[in-house]
Amino acid sequence: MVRRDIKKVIAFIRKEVLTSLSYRYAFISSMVFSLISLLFYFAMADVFRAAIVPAAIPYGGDYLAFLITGAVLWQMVTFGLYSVSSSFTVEMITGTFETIYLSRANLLTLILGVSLFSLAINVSLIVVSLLLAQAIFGVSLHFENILLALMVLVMTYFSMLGIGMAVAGITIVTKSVGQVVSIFTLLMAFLCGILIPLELLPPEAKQLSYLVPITYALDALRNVLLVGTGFEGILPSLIILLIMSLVLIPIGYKVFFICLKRAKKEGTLGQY
Amino acid sequence: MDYPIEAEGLKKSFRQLAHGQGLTEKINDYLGIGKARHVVFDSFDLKVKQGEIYGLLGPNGSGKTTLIRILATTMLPDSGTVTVNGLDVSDSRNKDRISSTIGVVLGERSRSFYWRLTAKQNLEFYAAMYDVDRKEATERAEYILDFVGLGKRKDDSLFNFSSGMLNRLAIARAFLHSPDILLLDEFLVNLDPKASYDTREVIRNLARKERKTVFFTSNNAYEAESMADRVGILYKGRMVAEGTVEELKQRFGEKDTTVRLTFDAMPVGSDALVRQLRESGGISHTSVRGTTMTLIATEPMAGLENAVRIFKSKGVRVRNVEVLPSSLESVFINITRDKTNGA
Repeated sequence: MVRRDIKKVIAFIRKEVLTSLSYRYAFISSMVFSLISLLFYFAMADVFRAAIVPAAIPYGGDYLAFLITGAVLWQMVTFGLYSVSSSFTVEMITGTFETIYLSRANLLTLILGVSLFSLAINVSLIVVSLLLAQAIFGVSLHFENILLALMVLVMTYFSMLGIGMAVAGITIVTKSVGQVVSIFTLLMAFLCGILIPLELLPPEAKQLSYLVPITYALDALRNVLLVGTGFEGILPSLIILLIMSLVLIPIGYKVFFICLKRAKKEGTLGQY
Repeated sequence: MDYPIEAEGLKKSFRQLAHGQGLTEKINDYLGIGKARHVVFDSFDLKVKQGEIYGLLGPNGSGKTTLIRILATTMLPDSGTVTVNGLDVSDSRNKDRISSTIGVVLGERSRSFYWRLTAKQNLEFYAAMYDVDRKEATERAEYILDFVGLGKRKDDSLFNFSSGMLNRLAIARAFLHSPDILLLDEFLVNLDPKASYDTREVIRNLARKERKTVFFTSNNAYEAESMADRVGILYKGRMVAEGTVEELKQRFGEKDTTVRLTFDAMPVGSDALVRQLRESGGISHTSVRGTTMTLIATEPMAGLENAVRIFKSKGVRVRNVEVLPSSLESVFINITRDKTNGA
């Protein structure tokens, strides 16, 4: 059974690669755009490099490096939240969603199939942008920990996947989730310490921040890349991320199935 | 399994959108609390025998696509029992087993493929989704593409495919995993006569060769007559007649006379002519295809007299007049007309 599911995931990846290559100009330009966006953000952040920000002190005090790690993590967060729903939306628009549903592809296969290729692309972009940040802005990063950093990023993706699955389910019913997810995303950004250091949050908000997976991911990533902390040092954060993934993914799965059942009841599975 | 497709007491309705109504109704609709419902099926029964080609004939909006989607598990019935190969379609645990035994061609074929991929790549992808091994998928894809006449176009991108070719590709996909049952929803729509004939031949030959049960829907009586072992006539969600084509003709086909007229050339303003014929009395139905016109006369003598008078007044020259034996088309028209009139 697992072997067959792996074959389906490979078929999906092959399809995604062939499709992306057929849109080679769009594919290359979107990667260049993502890279330039990150570098542009780094350049903006460089203006504030001289500032002494207390929140950055535990991570070495370089404010630019502090912001850069936040930016790359945020890229992974938004990818985890939107990748499944946006892939399903594309399949619904092209009309292939219903025909895939008709087959023997299960939800997990579908999710891994639509996201693994993009995940690989995203991770590669992040590595390249970090290398460029070091080369262009002289940011000091612990590249010897890059595999550990990638592990944090991938676990961040999976911790967001449960919410992403719920979003995908809602998309199947409503066909467009509008700005609801954006509001939710902003709320998480406010709470996790990417925009405002946790120390400056009101006490109630600070309590809530402990419920947001990104808070732990951000701390782990900054420790790995900026301080040079090893696996043992970030293990507690990784365990919390794992537990949150194990809680959120089944909830997202359940929400997805409730939404799928509703779409089948309303007969809107093949519509967009 | 005597009946691989069975429905008993099927009920299905949809929430009716309150287009054009007041703001309150629109808000209710948006929130999903609108109460008005459009009933598609109210206690519908169906039995399709093992190995038969069954055609469900019905006008637009009669519930054909809804039924196909319910059988294909992409739509849930409100109540009643619907089984495919003995498996209840409402039970989500049966989905994979049902998927393995059915091949489906849904409407809007052009939207169900990956256009950036070639025909073969599309079939290989779907083969993987149906657990067909890669080597077997490649062999099966090539065999099926040859069978549906697309063998030489297998490496072409779908951008270069016509509607007829996409239809045949959709049929190829439905056969890919060797299902026992084929569910085909209006699969001959938008095809020219040659492509329609070829596609019907492909289905018939594949179905006979691989001993499939075929259930198809259509709103074209000729297609149903030329393909089906048994035909059901669906009208407003109810099965109003069912049987072999001959049985239906015997039971419902003797009321009217079908006449086919052939012209040297179709007269200018043929729409107005058709309207005039229908309003002249004695003629219930008129259809025009090329330079031929088919009339269904409820009162043959009066109807034809009126037609001749109208043709004469318009200077239309009739080359040939042919009285046709009763067809499924006239059966279909008789039945649906009687139902519309409340008979």
